[in-house]
Amino acid sequence: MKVEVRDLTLALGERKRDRRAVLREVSFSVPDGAFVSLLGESGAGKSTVLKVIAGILLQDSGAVLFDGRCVDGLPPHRRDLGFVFQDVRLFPHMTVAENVAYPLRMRGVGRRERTARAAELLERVQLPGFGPREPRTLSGGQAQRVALARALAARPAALLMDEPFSGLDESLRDDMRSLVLRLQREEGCTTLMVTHDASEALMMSDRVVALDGGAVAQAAPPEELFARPATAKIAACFGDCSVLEGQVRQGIFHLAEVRLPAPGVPDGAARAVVRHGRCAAAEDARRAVAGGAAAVGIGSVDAAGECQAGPGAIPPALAGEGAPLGADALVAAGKAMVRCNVYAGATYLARLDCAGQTLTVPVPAPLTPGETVPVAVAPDGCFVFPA
Amino acid sequence: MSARRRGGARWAARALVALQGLCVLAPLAVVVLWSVTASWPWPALLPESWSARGIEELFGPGRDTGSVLAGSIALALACALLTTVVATLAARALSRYRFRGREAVRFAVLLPFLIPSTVFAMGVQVAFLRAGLAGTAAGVVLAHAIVALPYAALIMMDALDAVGTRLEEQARLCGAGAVRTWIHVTVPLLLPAMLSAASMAYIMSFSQYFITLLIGAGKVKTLALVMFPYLSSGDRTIASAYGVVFLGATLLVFFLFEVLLRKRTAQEIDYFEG
Repeated sequence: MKVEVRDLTLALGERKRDRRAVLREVSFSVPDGAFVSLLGESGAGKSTVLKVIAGILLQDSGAVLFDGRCVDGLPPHRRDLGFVFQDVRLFPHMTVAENVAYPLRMRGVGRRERTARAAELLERVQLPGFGPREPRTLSGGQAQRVALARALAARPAALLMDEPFSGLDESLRDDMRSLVLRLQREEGCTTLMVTHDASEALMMSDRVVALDGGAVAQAAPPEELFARPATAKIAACFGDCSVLEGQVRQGIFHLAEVRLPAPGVPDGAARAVVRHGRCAAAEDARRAVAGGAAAVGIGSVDAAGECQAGPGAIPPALAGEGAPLGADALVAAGKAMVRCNVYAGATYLARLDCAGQTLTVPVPAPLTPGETVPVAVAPDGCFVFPA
Repeated sequence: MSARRRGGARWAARALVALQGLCVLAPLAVVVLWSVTASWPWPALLPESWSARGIEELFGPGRDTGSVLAGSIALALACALLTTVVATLAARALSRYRFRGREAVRFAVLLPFLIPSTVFAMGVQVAFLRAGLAGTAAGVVLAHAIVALPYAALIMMDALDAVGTRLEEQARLCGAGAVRTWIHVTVPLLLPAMLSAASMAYIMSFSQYFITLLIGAGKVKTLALVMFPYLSSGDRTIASAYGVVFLGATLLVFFLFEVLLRKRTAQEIDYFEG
């Protein structure tokens, strides 16, 4: 089933004067059978969108459509959805099997059939034989798997999940993600998942809707979200990056002696996001520049123009630390003073001082604090936005 | 050193518990002793002579203590049931819905707390006389329920807040309508609190004297009503015998409520985890 929201607007607050806009004209759609993530920091309105779709909250204006049909008049229990909450919400007075079978019971499925379906689902979430147990005897990961089985039990038209993994230990999350993806494929169930974890959204989704301040900031496939983020927040949400505040003049971002390519960005205050994996300092930068790489703002402006990559020209970047950076990918980006180094396992991270702000660059060995070193960046890992 | 200090603390705690036990049990023991005492002059530590007069007076031929006791229990159970149902529904409305005058209704529910029951009983009596409820068991049950309602409502409001709406939301999303959500999820979660509210209301009703007297107009006999004249006339043996019956009946019903029923409902529900 295709899920679509159009111009959802909602203000929440007990009294009129402390009402606060939570959603501002949110529109997006989840194609039939697709896995879409709603990405945003806390307070961005992600869970609110999910609750509006589920019918637990009513929007002030706008519409929710299932397969093109407006469902605003339907109460939550008639919307035929599966819902997994972050806090699990198993019914404590029912056994695991009764929990899983509950949606079937509500749909009038006979006892024998629902017992069979519950057992089948428990097996598929790798909890065979857990049926007679009580929810409180389960671990967090087991409970979340039961909640997932329950959400899918009645073959709902769509599955909604609100941060389903954030209550779990890091070691369990990957397993849970694979399990969710596998079940989603097998059931072919349209799925909308809320998450604040950008890499989780990238790994799991066919499409990511990034929310910021109650509005859609960008809706795109994960590759595009990563390679061409629409805002500084989206660029920075994948972590491992430096955020710098500076000035753009003639397509070049300036901060102290650091210069970054900023093609097409209007002059004035700007914010730059530089991914750790896509920049270099000291020897690495020198080698890159000596190898014939262009320079940003040194020499001609054309040089900077050359290193610009138009939309679509950049393959989806595989930033990851330790990913080898071809010398030709880098452009010289001025210089900065080393403040200190930290050890990060695969590499050291050098913290470079840019007029009091910090540019973090991975280096193979610690640099000498106080030394001024050249810096180079790859344009596909460097994003500048008007502030 | 620390082990010894901890041992000292443990002894102090035990002594306090023992003291508290003594404060509760000693007066009870006196009542039990008095019920079988013929005479107990002042400086003597124990009664001088014993007698079965109390027991004969209560359960001898021609006495209706048994039926009064049964009536009292039935009345109190009816009151407990009525109070719990009303309190649960009122608490649900007060804690779940935002409506005009909600605070006023909340205050009205808790009002019998604040007004002395003697004052309040007279108003109830006038109203019940007009409604034809005075002098009937139904009227007494209703009057008792009004007195017990604030206590039960407070318990239920706290319980509803503790249960929260999380599982109700989940039930709705599983396809349950409002009624099935209430029956399948909310009530089972509230059951322990409902039992507490019911036993509270039961005890309030069972031990009520003044309101029973006024509303029942002497036609509705309860144990407390029958016992009172012996207390005021100073016949301690008989009053104490009634006291023992009273205590036994309360403990028995309480035991049934607390132990048997509670064991059958969800034990120690963890509202916030799974």
